[in-house]
Amino acid sequence: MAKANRIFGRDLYATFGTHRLDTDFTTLSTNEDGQMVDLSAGSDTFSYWKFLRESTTVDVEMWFSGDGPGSALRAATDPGDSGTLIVAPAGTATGKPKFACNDVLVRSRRIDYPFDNGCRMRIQFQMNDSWDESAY
Amino acid sequence: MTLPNTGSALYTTLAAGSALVSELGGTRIYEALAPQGATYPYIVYFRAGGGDDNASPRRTRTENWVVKAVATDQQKARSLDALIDAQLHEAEVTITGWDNYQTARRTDVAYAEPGEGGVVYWHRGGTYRLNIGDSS
Repeated sequence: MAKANRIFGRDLYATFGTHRLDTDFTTLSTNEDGQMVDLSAGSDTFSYWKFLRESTTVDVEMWFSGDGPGSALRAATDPGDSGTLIVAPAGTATGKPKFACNDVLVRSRRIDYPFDNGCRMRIQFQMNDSWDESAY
Repeated sequence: MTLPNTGSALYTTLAAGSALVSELGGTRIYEALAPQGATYPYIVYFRAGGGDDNASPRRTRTENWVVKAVATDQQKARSLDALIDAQLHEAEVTITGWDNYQTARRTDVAYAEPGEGGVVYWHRGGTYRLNIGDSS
């Protein structure tokens, strides 16, 4: 892989509704998990599992300030709020990958106020539908 | 965007301390080096590390500066150190083009330097950490 093809966090573009998530972010993670059911019988030597359905979450952490990425986004991300989430890891130029879900719930939000550092806000989004990949 | 002129900003902040200037007997505050033959006591300050945080799209820097008094009298050096601290610790240093969101004393500087003719030069001060962010 050529170095030029590596994706760096600095190229990230992400929105929740009309709000930018990447303005002052420090990290964003997508977690594509699945619900499984254990089909093992009592006498089985090994475990046997069946995949039921996908359940994707996205975690984002950002500096929490009184301006744009702070107060306005905080107001729009109370737990239970819903909207469209878009994550573009390599920016929005033509052909770049785009991940989106049209029905996303704010699952949790945490704000830390450390004495000796800036405050950070962490939000976890729960996909309420498919996490689709397309391209710009 | 221009890199911050933190040295100039520190000078302005220190020189604005009337009690400090009075104890010094003038604005004998020098960046990096005192002039040859400078009258004691004086304050000298210099960069001691730090740089860009590169932690989010919003540019921030953490700069460490040593600010210390140099005097031929130990008590004078101590009192100047306390007055430097009063000017800088948890103060907002005005830096053109940048926001200073925290200034904090991190470590102490204290040592004696033997000079000619039995003179002892007392160095007292601290390392101050400035957290600043691009305000553009």
